[in-house]
Amino acid sequence: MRHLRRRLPVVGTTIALIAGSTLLSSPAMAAPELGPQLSAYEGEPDFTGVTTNPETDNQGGVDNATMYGAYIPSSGVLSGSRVWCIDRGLTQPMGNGYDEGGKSSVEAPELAYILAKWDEPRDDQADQMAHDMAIGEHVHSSDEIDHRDILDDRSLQEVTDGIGWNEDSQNLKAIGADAFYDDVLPDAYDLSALMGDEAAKYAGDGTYKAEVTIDEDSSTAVVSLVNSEGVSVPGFDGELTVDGAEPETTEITSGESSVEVPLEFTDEVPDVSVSVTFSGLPTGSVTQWNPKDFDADDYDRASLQAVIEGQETTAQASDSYQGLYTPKVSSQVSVTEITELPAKVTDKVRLDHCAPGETIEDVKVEAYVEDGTITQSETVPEDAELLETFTPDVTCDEGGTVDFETDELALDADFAKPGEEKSVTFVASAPASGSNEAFSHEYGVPSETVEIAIPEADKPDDNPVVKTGAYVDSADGGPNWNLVGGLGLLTVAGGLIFGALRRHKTGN
Amino acid sequence: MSARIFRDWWSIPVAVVIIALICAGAWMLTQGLTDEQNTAEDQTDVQLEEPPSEADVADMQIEALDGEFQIPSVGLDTGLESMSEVNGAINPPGLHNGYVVRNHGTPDHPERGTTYVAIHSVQGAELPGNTLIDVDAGEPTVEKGESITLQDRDYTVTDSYTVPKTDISGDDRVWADEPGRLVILTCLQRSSGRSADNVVIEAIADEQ
Repeated sequence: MRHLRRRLPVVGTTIALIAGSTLLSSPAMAAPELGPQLSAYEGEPDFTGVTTNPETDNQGGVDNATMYGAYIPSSGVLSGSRVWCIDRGLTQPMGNGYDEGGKSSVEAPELAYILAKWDEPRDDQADQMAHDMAIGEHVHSSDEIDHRDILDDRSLQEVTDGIGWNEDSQNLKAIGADAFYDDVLPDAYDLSALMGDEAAKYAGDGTYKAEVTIDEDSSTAVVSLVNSEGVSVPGFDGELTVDGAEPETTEITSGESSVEVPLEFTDEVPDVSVSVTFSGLPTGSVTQWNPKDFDADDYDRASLQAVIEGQETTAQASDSYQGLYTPKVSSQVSVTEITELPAKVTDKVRLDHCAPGETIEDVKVEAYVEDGTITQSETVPEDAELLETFTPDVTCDEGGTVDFETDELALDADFAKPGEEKSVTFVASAPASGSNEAFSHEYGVPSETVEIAIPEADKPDDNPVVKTGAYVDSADGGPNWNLVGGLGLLTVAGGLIFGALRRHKTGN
Repeated sequence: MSARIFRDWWSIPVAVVIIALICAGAWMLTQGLTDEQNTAEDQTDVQLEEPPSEADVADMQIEALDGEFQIPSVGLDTGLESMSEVNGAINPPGLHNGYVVRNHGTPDHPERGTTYVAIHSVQGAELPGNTLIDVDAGEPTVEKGESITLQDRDYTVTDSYTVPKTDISGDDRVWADEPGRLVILTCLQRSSGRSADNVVIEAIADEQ
């Protein structure tokens, strides 16, 4: 907001803020704790920048100036903080002029970004001056906060080309005019442009999100900081906390694309967690401190400038990766050759490198049969016939292994005829479950295969004779006494009859 | 009149004796004839012409087989067992069933070769194998074109003939091992005396 909030009457007023600490008129005198503006800047040890040359403000006051730099109060609630004046021409800030009652948070994503990214003390005075003058330009020109300017808004370049810089400033004198004009100002121009570009590009709506994922294939932690629009925001420091792996570094700086940090997994089956915390991030807002006399008597020029300071926050994200166990299958059938039927066969299966203590779901052992011999292959051939599917309950022991055995596979007497050759093979498999990857033994693994060959009966060289005759052995029971006796009795009876009849005739 | 009665007094006890003799004789004759009939039908009295030794029977490894052995045209319908030829002879130990010879031909793969089935016939009795022979005519009862069922396969008779027992081991017609072929072997009984010939019934498997 670059307009004068309250236009004060100029007539009858004089400016309180005159170099040499001369207070001229009563309105100004009413303002408390007004220090000499220009002199304060000249000798102020807690101001990092340079002021403009004195000018007359739009209320008639003279010898006012605009501060381009950070103010570091030595007293009051802001003691030691780097704050930034936002009202051109109003009375210089002073530490005791602010209290918690004047504190508010103002949403200003771009300005908040600039302060979070660039507002920091620097070792080199000229370098710090360049940075802070650039920041000061953005603070003064920001549309995101309200200003009570009573001087015109000017860019650094416009100041240089116009009203000029106060060469009496102690800071300017300390580094020398040549260095100021040749080095500081050009750097400040460039930095200001850079800050503006970055803020426009990265500030978004002022919210930021940390992201981290573990890429198990490349064994890296992929870290990024993105704004509300998903744009990667570079230049902010983050710290990794890693369990289960050794990171190449724990200190990272966000980039324009994801940052990859190589991880060396410490366990054969990784159980890794990674968290990243970015600190010093902008919140999207700045803290505005209005002076205690902010509303003093409609006389803004006599009021202290409001100041802002940056806000910082952190963003955290985490990811974890539990590597999968890859069960290794080995097995052994109970018998590898069968020459007599019926027979029974089982398959003993051993799994190594399974997830300790974990139940492996849906384990199955399928038994197939093929004529002749079986050739090992990754998949089951089409002509293989599924005989039976066993579904054992399998839980990996704490050592990461488990042994189990199928029920008996019964091969009937007619499973293979003499002279035939068949092969039965078992295939153990399970889909992925829990921390175990899917596994499947190949088809026709020799240790899981039974060869069944029933030999044909030996055939004599010569053709046989055929003895298929039998007879009723009537001699075994002895004489048929009934038949003999019956015939005898009937014969005697006949004789008696014949004799009786003859005698009867003779007797006549 | 009374003198005559006294003169023939002996006729009464003689008549009684005669009646008793007739009754007893008739009863004994009936029993005797029944015994004769039972003897003819009682297989416990049937003897193999050349019974195998116990050791031979053990070597035959007799096993029961599923399925039936049927020749409807002659009324044969009996069970099946398997046996091995032992000591150069096919000599089934049982009287009723047909015996698939395990070690001659290709019985495990009927489609590949000949299956031999032997069954006893008996002189003086009527057991299943006797349905295959006509003793009076001295020839097989089964004729060309008739059907045979052996287990789960159907066959059609292609030939039937007799071969002297002494010649059968050398008769190539009998022992030809040909795909789908069935040969049924038994003895041709005679009215008296031991059998001298074998009956051979050849059949070929019907297409399935």
